[in-house]
Amino acid sequence: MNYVVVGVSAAGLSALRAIRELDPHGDVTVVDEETRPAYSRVLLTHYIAGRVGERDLFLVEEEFYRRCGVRALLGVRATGLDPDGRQVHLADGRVLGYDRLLVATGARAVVPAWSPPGGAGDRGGGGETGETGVTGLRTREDAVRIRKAALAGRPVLIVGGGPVGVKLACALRELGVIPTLLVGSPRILSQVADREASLILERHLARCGVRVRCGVEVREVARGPHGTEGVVLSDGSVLPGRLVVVCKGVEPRTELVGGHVAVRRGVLVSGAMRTSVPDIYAAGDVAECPDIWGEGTRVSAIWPHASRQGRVAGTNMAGGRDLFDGVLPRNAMDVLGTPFVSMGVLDAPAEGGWRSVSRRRGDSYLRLVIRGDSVVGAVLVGCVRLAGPIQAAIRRGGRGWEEVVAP
Amino acid sequence: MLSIGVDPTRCTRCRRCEAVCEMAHGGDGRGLQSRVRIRDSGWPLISICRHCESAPCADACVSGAIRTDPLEGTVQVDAARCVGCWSCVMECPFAAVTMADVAGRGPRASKCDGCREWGFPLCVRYCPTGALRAGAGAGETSGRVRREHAARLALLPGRGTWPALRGRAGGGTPA
Repeated sequence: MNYVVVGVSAAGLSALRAIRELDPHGDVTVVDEETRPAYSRVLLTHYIAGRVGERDLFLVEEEFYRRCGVRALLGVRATGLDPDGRQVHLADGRVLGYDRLLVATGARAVVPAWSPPGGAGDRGGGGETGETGVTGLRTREDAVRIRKAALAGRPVLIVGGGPVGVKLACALRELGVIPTLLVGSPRILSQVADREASLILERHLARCGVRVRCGVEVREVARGPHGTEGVVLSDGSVLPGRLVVVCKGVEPRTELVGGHVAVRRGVLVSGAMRTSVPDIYAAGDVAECPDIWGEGTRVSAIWPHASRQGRVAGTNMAGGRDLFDGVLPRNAMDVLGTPFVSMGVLDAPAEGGWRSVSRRRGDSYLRLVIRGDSVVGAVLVGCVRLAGPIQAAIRRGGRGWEEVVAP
Repeated sequence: MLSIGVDPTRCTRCRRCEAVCEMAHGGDGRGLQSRVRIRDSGWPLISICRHCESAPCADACVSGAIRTDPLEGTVQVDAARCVGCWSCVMECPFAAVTMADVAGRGPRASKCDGCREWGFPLCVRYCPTGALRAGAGAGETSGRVRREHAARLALLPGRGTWPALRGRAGGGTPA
């Protein structure tokens, strides 16, 4: 059997392991744009904060692929797909045949229109990001750049109040820098927290010395003779800063398979990680998967899903049988000493048997979203001890939550 | 091969396990360190690590700090690698992972280590009713399956860089 895996990060790597467990002798080729072995993107903000060294970012050693008996084509991009001829075309002209293909191309940082070319997160683009003073936070290089700038005392502006933006703000604060967090929404973490949790965490950040500005839109980057001098907001005011970090979320990198397999936001896959075309699988941030309630499909760019989906894809590719039990969006983070966890559905519509149960003691906050009698979502701030049992309840079908949160 | 089994129907909430764990692992001025916690009501009644064969905390660990020891079968935390991201707390269905302050580094994951130092979990030894059990087969998994996995682990490339004992077929979070 001849396997090709495009993209080796969380999903590609666990697929590789699953394939090798079941098929020790098959031909496996991995293709990745990065020249170094896979590293953990989740650790990038922790690296910036100085909690882990640069070497600790790597998930596998240099010789990992060789020891696996895997042919690794690193530093080269897969540019085209021929599903009928079962071939993948590479940027350097090479053509790879496959019996089973895994698309684990991940996601790229969303680049807003005002970001200068070659700036935020544009891996394919030319130009040196260092010159533009604008960067994303998606790659190791991005993280190294940000840490360097922060240690050199350059003021940092973070654009985007999602999990990555907030984690970066915390990391920089730990380094002793006072970052400014610019948020388009009226509140931070608007996609992953409810209003109350957002406000608790926003106040906590402010108390810890992070400048938070919500409801502001960036119009352009302010340039001066010495490079980036800040950003211009839509009301015309200028905020000073020498490095602008764009954290506006990610989007699936579907271009390799677009036009060949069914794509909505991400590449549509079944619970077995199969795409609409036989023998082509997708997993990780690029995949759009049924949720745990079987009510819709979602792209969820989170680590545990990626590694689990990779495992499922690899097992099925190698002739085993495994099923992903569905997407349950969730996030955990430490906001400068205050833990925060959210999972599942966060909004309870006014009609249709939805309600929410919440309790608050000081800055400790718990909210459950209930549909019918079943818990389908939760937000926890301060005391997150029950997050695991609540998640288990959601996965069991949502019953029995009263027992979990019993005083 | 260690696994810890729990029978809540036998628990009288005497809390001897909490006290014993505290004596074994606490006492260093960092506050209460007991890794087993008993509640008066609700679920889970007994919060203690089961040393899952396919441990959700280890699967979710972003820094490789939580791993299954291939020989003992226990799930262990390397606090030096932990970055305090709370992912393990979010994943453990038994609320068995907590965060304990490590001097100068902030909260880091803390959980039952199976009393490595003593060779046998003391909470189990001192449980008067048999609500806590330990040993092969105490949980849901037989020793044979665990041994097979351990043997496989030793052959797997990349061992030692990431928890290699991933979810079994149909695994993921126990539900």
